[in-house]
Formats: sequence, C-alpha cells, structure tokens
Amino acid sequence: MPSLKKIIATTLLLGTSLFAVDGYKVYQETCKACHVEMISVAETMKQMKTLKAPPMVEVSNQLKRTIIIKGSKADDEEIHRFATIAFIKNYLQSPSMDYFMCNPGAVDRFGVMPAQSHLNDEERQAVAEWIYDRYEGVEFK
Amino acid sequence: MKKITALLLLSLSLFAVDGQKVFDENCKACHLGMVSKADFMAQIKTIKAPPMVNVSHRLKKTLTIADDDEEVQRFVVISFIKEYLKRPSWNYYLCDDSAFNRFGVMPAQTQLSEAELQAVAEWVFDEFEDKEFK
Repeated sequence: MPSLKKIIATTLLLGTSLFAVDGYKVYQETCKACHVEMISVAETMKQMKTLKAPPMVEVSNQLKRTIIIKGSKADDEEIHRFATIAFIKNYLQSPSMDYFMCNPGAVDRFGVMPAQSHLNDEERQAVAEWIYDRYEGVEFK
Repeated sequence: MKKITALLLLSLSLFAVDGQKVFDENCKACHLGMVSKADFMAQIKTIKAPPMVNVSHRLKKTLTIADDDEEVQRFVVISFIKEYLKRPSWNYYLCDDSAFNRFGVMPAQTQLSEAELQAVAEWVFDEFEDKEFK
C-alpha cells in the first residue's frame, strides 16, 4: 500500500511533467534542421559545405566560454547558468551580429540566424535550459 | 522625403516605451536611482533595496565577456535583467552577502510587458555608464 506522501508526490510530479515543455522537443522541432545536436570536429569539417549553422554542442560550449562571472561571485555556477539561459532566450527573439558570440569565421560562413519569434516564453526557457544542460561536460572535439 | 522620415521617427517615439518612466513607476519606490554613498548610508535604515547606480555597476562587474566585447556584454546584462525581473531568486542573486541579508530577494515584476522589460533593462545599463556610486 503506497503511502499518502508517495501518492501526492507522484501525482504532483506526473501533473507537472504533463504540462512542462520539453526542451529537447523544442530543439528537435525548431533548431535541429540547422544546428546538428552532436558531431565531432573532424566530421564537421567534412560536412562543412552542407552545414547551415554551428553544431549545438559548439554553440553551448562557446556560450559557456564567453560568459565569465567575476568579482565576489566569481565562477558561481548558478549565476553562469542563469545568465547564459537569459542570453539564449533574448537572442532567440532578436538575433543580431552586433552581439553574436561566434568567432568571426563562423559569422562569415553562416551569417545571423532568423529570429524564432514563434516560440513562447516557456518554450524559449525550456530549449535554453536544454542547450545549457545537454552539453555539461560534453566537449566539441 | 526628409519630412516623411521625421514623421516616422516621431511616430516611433510615440509608441516606444520610456525606460526612465518604467523605472519611475515600478522600481523607484525601493531602488533609488543616483545617490552618493554618504547619502545612501545616511538613509540605510529606511532603504529597501540597493540604489540602481550600484545595481548597474555590480551587474557590469559580475557579468563579463571573454574578449571584453562591449556590445555582447550589454546584451548579456540586459538579458539577465529582463529574466531576473520575471523570476528573482537567491540562487542567482548578484548582490554580496551583506546586501542579501539586509534586503532579501525582490518581488517578481510580472506586471511588466516584454517592451517594458526591454526598456527598463536598457535604461539600467545605459543610465549609469558615466556615473559612479561613490
């Protein structure tokens, strides 16, 4: 006989997950056509002529390398994650070469992506979290 | 043609959200705008939040960019402010511990529209560019 606590916890979790937006699903439906999920540097070079955008593994790592938390909160991981997710969410609404994070070679090669204005706040939150978390400890090499 | 351009600019400015106005109406009751450290300390017992000049500089000092690109940093800081206003939390609070103990976490500003969030975040970044908290 499951305890009342378990029943309540399960119901709550199940209920939440039914309504929560799945970041991976947003990626598959919205980003994947241009941003490959996982690929090696060697394979990227081979496919360079047909690639439409940097692979997401490189995007994630580049974002994390570029944003650096300094001062009394130096290297605080929660702040770094929040700032990176905030950047992704805002960038998806208004991409621009003014604050593009890719290296100059990538700009010349790919240009600036189109705004993803069909995504709502929850979808942008979910996919931004996915981009950050999916590649924790996963390098582009 | 020039007249048309002027007219367009005028109509744009009529619709544009004024960041200063958003600040006055939503933030100012707790965050003083520009204040000296001496004046701030004199009021510390009744003050409810860090002054905005301090908030602005602290954001810029904390959220930095690997190659110091200023446009990228401005965009990152503005993005941070916009998201923070929607979901403030001590998990990613930028203030130091003494400010945290003194003031706690601010309430979410869910009454603000996307355009208002953008305008006030730009204002917080730009307004204090040449002003120090000292």
